[in-house]
Amino acid sequence: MRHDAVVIGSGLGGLLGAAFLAKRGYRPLVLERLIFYGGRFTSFNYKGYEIPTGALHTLPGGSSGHIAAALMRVGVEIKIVEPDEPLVLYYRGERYSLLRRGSGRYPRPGSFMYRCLNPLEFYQTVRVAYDLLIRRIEVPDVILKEFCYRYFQGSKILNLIDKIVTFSNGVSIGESSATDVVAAMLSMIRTNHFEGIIEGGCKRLTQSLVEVIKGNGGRLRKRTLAEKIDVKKGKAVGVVTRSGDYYPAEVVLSNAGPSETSRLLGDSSPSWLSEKVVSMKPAYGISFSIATPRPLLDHKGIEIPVEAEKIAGYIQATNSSPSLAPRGGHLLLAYQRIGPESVEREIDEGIAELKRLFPSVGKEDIINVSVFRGGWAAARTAQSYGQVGRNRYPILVGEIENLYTVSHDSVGSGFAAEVIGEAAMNFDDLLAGRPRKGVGVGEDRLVSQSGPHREAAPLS
Amino acid sequence: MLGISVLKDKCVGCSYCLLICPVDAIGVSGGKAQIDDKCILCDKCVYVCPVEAIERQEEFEAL
Repeated sequence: MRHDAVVIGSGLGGLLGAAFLAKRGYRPLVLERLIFYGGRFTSFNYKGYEIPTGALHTLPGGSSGHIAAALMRVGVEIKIVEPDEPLVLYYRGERYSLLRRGSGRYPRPGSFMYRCLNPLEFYQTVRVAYDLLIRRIEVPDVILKEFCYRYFQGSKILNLIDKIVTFSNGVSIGESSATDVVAAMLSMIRTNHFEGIIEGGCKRLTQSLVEVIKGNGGRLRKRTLAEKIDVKKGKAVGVVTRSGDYYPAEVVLSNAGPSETSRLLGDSSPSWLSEKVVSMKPAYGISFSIATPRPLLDHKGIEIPVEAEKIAGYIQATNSSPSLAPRGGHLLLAYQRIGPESVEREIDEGIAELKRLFPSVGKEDIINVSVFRGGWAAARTAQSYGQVGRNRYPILVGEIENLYTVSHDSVGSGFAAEVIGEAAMNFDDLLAGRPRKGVGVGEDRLVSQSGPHREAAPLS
Repeated sequence: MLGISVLKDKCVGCSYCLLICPVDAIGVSGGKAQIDDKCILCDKCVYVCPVEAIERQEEFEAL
């Protein structure tokens, strides 16, 4: 079968991109170097538990986020469980619900403010709420840490915000854009939509995308490493694999990240892309999977241990989707951000802290520890001071025609996976307006989508 | 060991190999994988490793 589009990498972005290509009438071929699809957005079944390869079975934007909208566009039906108490703070033995939908069992945010904040922290909180919600100030294009310092210097709220952002995004406030994260948070608060847990986990989502791709004329190949993106006269025209196969393509979607894309382009790599690669600061982290016969939490939301030093947050995913564990089992997923320092020590400290937070947990209950660093980081970000909001790895790789990307770093730094969903929908919009060989522009299936893409427009 | 070995310098500790191993022959400690003699040379770990840190030694490939 002849393919007219090649997608490099079968992570969430690659699969979403390929699904859009297939829905738009292309015949995409997805090349995956490993023996599984989904990259850091799937899971391995281990002793009956679905241990995530990266994303913790959670969509930061829940059923109203970009991923949910993208899935609706390609016709994937996934159940997303939205907790009544999406964000619970654990502070000195008590739990407080910071955001609430419907009936919750924990005290409201007001109680946290009155009982847990000192007068200065109380004032700081009121001030930031006033500025953002009432005055609606314009958030400057700086790193989030700098913006937070203006309000919360020397208070535990700074640490709290860092944990929330780290848990949702994989990267700390020192690596996130203030504009993007604040906008994402405000939009969640205004619409009263927060994170959601994917029923069946990340794997069910990526498997559904694989089915859409296959059902619409696309193909996927595992254990196939792309070696080179063939560029002729400034146009991407095909992909060569390591085994020497050549696949000509009208569209190449490189979802392998900036540094791999730069390598695949070789001499054709634009200079700004190479510079970008050098300035990239990958985010490192550890995720812990804890399996217990009794639930450790009685809510479905994300919990932030305010006073913890290492653990950013955790979620008991089986409270929303019991199928992630064997019958009667429970799975709690925790995330810890680490620096490039001694990983061994970080793991030990993380485990010690988890045991303090959950005294009933023994070493044998921690059934998996995954470290994300080096060439397999928790997130790739190219953001550093002075770069936020500019020079982002664009969805269309600049000077090279027909070459696109929808990877994590391709647009802003809103909230982790949601950024990929947003980029994928932008890619789909580009496809919709793209003249095709042998297909008249304006034909029915090339539905033109313009403007903001927050609403899902399902394809036929 | 037994033809499949972990390149400690490359291993990041993601534990995918441990999760996919059909015979529980892999342990990850201190952020590095280790393969023990239960290994049946199925090669799954070699192709699940995202950083190419697991290798099958050539002398065994000839068998």
